[in-house]
This record gives sequence, structure tokens and C-alpha cells, in this order.
Amino acid sequence: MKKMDHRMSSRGFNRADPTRRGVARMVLGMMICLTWLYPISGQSLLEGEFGDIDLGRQLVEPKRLPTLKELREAVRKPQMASVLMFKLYGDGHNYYLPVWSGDGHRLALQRSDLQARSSKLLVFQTLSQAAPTQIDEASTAYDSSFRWGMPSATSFVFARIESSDGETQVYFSPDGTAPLAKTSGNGRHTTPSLYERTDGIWRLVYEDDGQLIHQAWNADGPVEAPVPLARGASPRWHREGTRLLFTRERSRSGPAIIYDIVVRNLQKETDVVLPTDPSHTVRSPTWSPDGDHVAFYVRPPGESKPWKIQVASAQEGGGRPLGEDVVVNPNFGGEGPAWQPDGRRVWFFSHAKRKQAYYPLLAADIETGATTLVDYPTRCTGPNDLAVNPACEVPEMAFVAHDGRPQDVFVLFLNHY
Amino acid sequence: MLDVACQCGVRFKLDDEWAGKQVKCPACGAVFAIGPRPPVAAMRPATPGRSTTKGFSALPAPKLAAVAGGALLFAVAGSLLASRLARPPAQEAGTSRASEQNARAADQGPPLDRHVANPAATPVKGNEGGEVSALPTAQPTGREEIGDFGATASSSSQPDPPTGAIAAAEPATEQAAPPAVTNGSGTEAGRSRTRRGKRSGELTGVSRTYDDLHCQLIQSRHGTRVPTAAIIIEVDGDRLPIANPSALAASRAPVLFLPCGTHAVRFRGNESLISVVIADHVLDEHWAMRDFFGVGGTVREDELLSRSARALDSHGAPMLLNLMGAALAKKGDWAAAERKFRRSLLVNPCFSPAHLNMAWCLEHRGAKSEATRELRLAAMFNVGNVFGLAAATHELAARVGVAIDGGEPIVFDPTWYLPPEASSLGDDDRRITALLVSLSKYAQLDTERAKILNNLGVHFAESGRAELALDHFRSALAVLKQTGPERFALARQVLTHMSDACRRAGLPEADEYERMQSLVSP
Repeated sequence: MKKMDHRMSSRGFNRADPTRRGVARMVLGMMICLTWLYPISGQSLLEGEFGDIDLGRQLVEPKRLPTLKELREAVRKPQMASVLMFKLYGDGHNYYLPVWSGDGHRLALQRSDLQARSSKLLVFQTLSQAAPTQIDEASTAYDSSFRWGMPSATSFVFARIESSDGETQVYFSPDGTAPLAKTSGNGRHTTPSLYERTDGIWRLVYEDDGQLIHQAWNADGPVEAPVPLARGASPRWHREGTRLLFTRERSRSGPAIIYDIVVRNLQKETDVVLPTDPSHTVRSPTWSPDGDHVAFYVRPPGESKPWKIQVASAQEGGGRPLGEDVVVNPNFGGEGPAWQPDGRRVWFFSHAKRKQAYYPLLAADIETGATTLVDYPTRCTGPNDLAVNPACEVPEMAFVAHDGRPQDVFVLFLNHY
Repeated sequence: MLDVACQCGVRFKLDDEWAGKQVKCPACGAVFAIGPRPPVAAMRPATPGRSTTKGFSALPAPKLAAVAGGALLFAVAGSLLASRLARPPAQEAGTSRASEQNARAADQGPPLDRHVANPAATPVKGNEGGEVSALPTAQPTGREEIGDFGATASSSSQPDPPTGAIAAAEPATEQAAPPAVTNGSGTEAGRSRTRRGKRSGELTGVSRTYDDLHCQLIQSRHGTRVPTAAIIIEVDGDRLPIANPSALAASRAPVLFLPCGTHAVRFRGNESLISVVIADHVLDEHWAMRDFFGVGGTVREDELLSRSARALDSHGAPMLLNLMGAALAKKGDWAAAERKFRRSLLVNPCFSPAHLNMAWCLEHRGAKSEATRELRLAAMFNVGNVFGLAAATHELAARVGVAIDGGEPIVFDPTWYLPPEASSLGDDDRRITALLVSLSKYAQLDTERAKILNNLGVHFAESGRAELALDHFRSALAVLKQTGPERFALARQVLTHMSDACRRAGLPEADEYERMQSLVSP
């Protein structure tokens, strides 16, 4: 009863008090102004700024492109945090292995077509494409092992299993046009790596039934016939084309092969074997962006042991394992750890930090070994095949994950490294 | 008859007896001196059909300091033509040492007064006595005559514009046309008038002659692209003194211009030589372009602006920006000129004329070390004196008081040509730039992509960094170039933001962008 009286008296007082009535009107006026200023989206824009921009992509979070004010706020935060995540592509098939071109303007993907039981490669020649273009659409072959050429941003190579004879050949395209076979004969020619010299000579290294082979050609034809380099796998050209990184077979016991990580200087014709624990399994070496370091996956003996990442100097080796229970895709031996463009950290997902099917991002500092955990929208589950754009000053990451049954391709932007 | 041009743009003819006297311009009333009548050989220095206007530029290079505003413009102009004129035909196939010496000798001359009617009065040094035989004669008759742009137009693979567009053109020359002409055809005068009209029609804005696409074509025909993986630049056995050529490749069109002929080029010491064949002289193209835009006389700024507007202020070749900079320098607006030269060099850092012009700007504002750097770059990229700038470069070096030959290889830094505000960017600005530029790549519609890039321009404009803002607004315009008819309205909006940003910062380019808005239309 007392409360009621109080309300009653309060209302009566408001009606009678012109000051309070004025304040109430002012507040009402401000609300109307705000509604007028931000009618639909509620965006607060600077003068000249366009709002409600539509990327044409399915945004995961936030639901619209951030405004300048929101971006300014985001980049000021000291912690690394998600700015925007969206689905780049998904069409009901499962996608794998996003691979950035050297200039960061193109992205290749591998698609597993469950109904046709085949694998296809697709390329975003520009990232503004609504859908990626399938390489050689007419072919019924099984394509895999995509690799962009170096330092050219448009050339690429891949391996193709011909459905007619079952042979695996390496195919090459200098500029996205119809690819041509660069190998022939029997055997499995896989995991190619391509380097374009400034004098128009293309150098290709690939694996041929466990043997690494080098060959070269130019516009007029072959320049160097195929030459075996070593027994090994996962070759990768150095950014200057003078060195080659690969795994070299140390011993073989049945189907199990033990590898060393080797850097071959092609000018001096010398090999540097990067020291690793001889009992450990190593795979998928990758150059750091400056070409001074190498990162690769390493695992102690035993099937269920967790993977770590080891970073070593390309000259002297050494280094220490980083990360904990790193998520490694067992199906693609050619793809290694993801470097950030300045080479200070390597990025990965980890089983150790997962919350059910959500895996946060982790970044390991190669100097200190310290890891940083970065969360992103939890809508996507089971992420894998992380690829960091090598030419962007802020983290721009592509990976595959589930948003429903199929495995789609997502892109995540963080506020800073 | 003497062909006289006033600074206001009006041209008229006078009897020879007026040589050396003062006259009053009938259009603007300005009083100026007519130069002495040149010797016959000097008046007709080159090919038959070379216009008197050409003869103006055919003068030896002026002492650049003499005319403050137009010094730079005339310096490069005079130097270019003098060296071209001095080049014997036999040397036109790529050998350049002798032509360089000729050009150096030729580039000594008196200051050029813009009101001097016939600057050809002073014979080219080294060619005194009218050694016409030493001059190139390969030009087809009439090619360089005023009004005859057929050859030029055809070289751009564009159809000639309809001759009906003649009327509004050529204001200055039409005023000076002989009044006796009543028939547009049938008489020599009439034919001449028709030729003028043809060019005039092109100047109304329908022509693609010397627009940005045409300039890109010229650029690609006369040079070789420096690849990303370049470690050295070696041309015909000579290594250019640059420590990091790969840094050049960060620019939009890192094309190294080469003289006419076949060259052995190498970008890595352990790789094979590449044969580069250049079919003709870029200097000829450069001169034709200069003539077309009236550089060296009354600059047709409207024509430069209309082409820039057509390119939506986003250039793929450095030539037009360089000419626009020269026009601004001629007017004494050195700061704006420097901005244009910087932009020119951002497009192609191997473009020697813009380096020399940039050196002039830097020298003018007392930045000696930077001027020295630009002089060294001008000399380095003037391979085989391809632009005939050797003399002018050394002359300016002498004026600055520095030696540009020898020394340590230059460590090239592409940020030299970015807006000065770029050097003081904070982390937040760099992050916002990276975020918006990268996000824009994913926009399926170019209009949406342009909006994102426009917003980046707004970010910098709002914080008072106009030049950086302009750079990003230009990126937005560059995207809009590729879109459909909807681009015009959006482009005008972006141009409005550009002129607003310039006005707030007190940059004279505000007017330029305002005028461009009216030129951007379907």
C-alpha cells in the first residue's frame, strides 16, 4: 500500500514538475534522433563511411561487417581476438587443405566428392569469386597434392591419378590455364614443388615411388632431364630457389619409414641434416617465411602419441618441440605447420585445449616457446588444415570445419598478431 | 612568319620583322619579347613536317634555375628533345653511349623564357652550323605536324573519332588560323585545318590516345618487367647499382625502360641471359605524348585531367602523372608537383623522368640527400640514356653539388614514395588498413569492395591524414573501374570525399577532384 502511494504520488509529482517533464521530453527527443540516425542496423558511421556493406558471404560472427569505430576499438585491444569470421565456401561436399598463394590473393582447396568417390582441386583465382573454380572440370581423374609455384603467384602443380590407367602424374599450369602433364610413364609421381626462375626456366621436384626427382623446362621444352636427388618425400623449394627442404629416408622397416629432415644447398651441393631425436617420427617440413628456419611435426614412437611442432634453424638445426597434442591431418603428409608472416610464431589447433568438438587456436612463439590461446566463434566444430595468409599484416586464417554435416571452408580475421 | 605563343595559350603568327621586339598578346594583353629569328638550319632542325611547336622544344635544355616555375618542365623537355635531335640515325638501334655524349653536349643552353616566341634561336651545341644531316629523318612526313594525329591514334588501336567532334576543340590554334580559309577541303590550308580538327576531336574526350591504357601499352612495349625474384639487374653486361631489385617488384608496374634494340638482360647471377627486343624508341613516344599535351608550351591540363578522370585517378603507367606533376611545377606548385611525381614512381619506380623531376622538387625544398638519391636513381634507370636525361641529370647534380656516379649500390625503399604520413603510422592504423584491405578482397561485388576501401580512406581523412586517405580512396576508384554502369554514381561519391579531404587539409588537389566529378559519367 505504501509502495502504491509512493508511485501515485510520484506520478502526480511528475505531472506537476515542469523540470522533470522537460527532461523526459529531452530524453524522448534524443531517442527519436538516435532512431533516425541509426534506423535499421544501428551502425554508428563516420562522415563519408558506407554502412551495411554486404560481402556476399555467410558471416558467422558478427552478423555484419564491423564499422570503423568498431574496428578501431578492436585493434586497440591488447589481446588477440576474433574480428570477423565467415564461411568462404561450402556446397555439401567435404573440403580440405586450403593453400594460400604466395601473394595471399588466391586460395586452393581440395574437395572430396563422396558420391563420385573422387577428389578434385578448386581454386579461388580471386577471393571475390562466389565459388572456386574446379581445375579441369571435364576430367574424371582424382586430383591432390596441390602446390602453388614459387615465387610466381599464379602457377601451380598437383598430382593426378588417371582413372583410365591408375597412373599418377604431376600436372602443371603456369597461370591457371588448362594444366599439362609434366611427368610420364609408370609410377606414382606425387607431392610436387615448383620454382620459376627469372630466365623462364621452371624447376620441378616431386616424389616418384619414394624417390625425389628433379627436372626443368622452359617454353622451348626440357632443359634438364629428370634426375634422382634422394629417397625421400615432401620436397619444398626455398623462396630463393637455391635450397630444397625435404624428408630423407633414413631407414625402412616394412611399411614404416624413418625420415630425417634435410636442407640441400643446390649451388654448393651440400646437405644439412637437421638434428632430431632418432627415435621420433618427423614429417611435413615447411620453410619459415624468411627462409631461415624450418618447422615440422615430430612425434615420439608409438601410434597414439601426440604430435608436436619442432622449429629449427635451417643452417644449424636444433630448436625444441613446441605446442601440445597438435592437430595433424594424417591424410596429407605434404602440409606442415602454419607460420605467421613475420616468422615469430607457428599456429595450430590442439587436442589438449579442446572443449568437446571446439578447438581454440594456439600460437607458439618460436623464441620463447610460450603459447597463446585465441578463441573464435564456437559455432564451427572439428577444425583442421589451418592455413595462415602469408601476405597479411593481421591474422587472416583459412581452415576447414563443420557447420552441419559437411566440412566447409571458413576464414577468420583476428585483430592483430 | 614567326609562330608566337603567349603564356595564356593563344598562338598567332607575325612577320619576321617582329623578331627580337616586344609584342602584346591580342587575347590577354600580356607584353612579351619575341626571340630573334633563328638561322634557317636551326628552324628546321629535324624532319620535314616538324611543326614550329616542335621547334620550340627542340631547343637545347635551358638552365633550369632560370625560370623558377617552369624550370623543371623545360629542363626535362629540352633535354629530351635535344638528345633526340642529336642522335644520329645510325645510333638508333640501341647503341647509346655516343647519343648520351651528344645529348650531354646538347643540353647546354640559355634560360628559356616562356614568352620567347621561337626558342630555336640558339642552335644546339654540337650542331652549330645546322648539321641537319646528323638528325633523324625516319619520321614520316607530317607525322608531327600539328593537327595530324592519325598515326598516333592508330597506334593506340582505337578508331579515329568522328570528325564531327572538331568544333569545340583547339581554341588557341583556331584563333590563329588564317582567316582566308573558307573551305574545309581542297586547299592546303583547308587540309591543315582538317588535320587540326581531327586532333581537336580527339581532345574532346572521346579519344583513347595517351590515356592510361595507351600509356601502359607504350610502357610494356619499351621495357622489361623486373621480376619479384630479381637479385640483380644486368643489362648488356652492365649491372645497375641497386642492392635489392626485388623491392621494385612491390610496385604496380616495375618496368625497366630500355633503348631500341636487342638487349641481354639478367636478374640473377647464376641464371641465363634473357633477350629483350625493343622495336622502337620510347623517346619518340615520349615526345609525341608531350606534344599532344602541349608540355613545353601551353600545357593542356584539361586533357591530362580528363584522361586521369577516365582512369578514375588510378594509373597503371607513370607517364600521365609525371606530366601532370610537370605542369604543376611549371605553375610553381612544387608541393603538389612532388605528390604527383611520388605517385608516378609508386606506379613504376624505374621511370627515370619522374626521378629527375622528383630530384628537382627535393632540391627546391632543400632536401639535398633525398635529391641526390633521386638523381642517382634517375641516372641508373636511364639505361643507355633511353630517355635522353643524362645531361640534365648531371647538370642538376652539379647544381646540387653532388657526384652521382659510382658509390655504394642503392638500397631501394618503396616507402620513399608513399605519403609522408605513412612513415608515422601507428600499430592501430596499420592493423585497420590490413583488416579492411584484406576483408575487401572477399566482397563478391566490386561496388561493395570499393565501399570498404572508401571507408579506409574515411578513416584517414577523419584523422586529418589527407594524402593517405587519397591513396585509399584511389584504391576504391581502381576497383570501381572494373564495375558496370553503377560505378559512376559511387565514383562521384568517392571523388567528393577526396575533394572534401583535400579541402580540409588545404591541398590544391581539391579542385582537381571536384572537376573530375563532372568528368566521370557514362
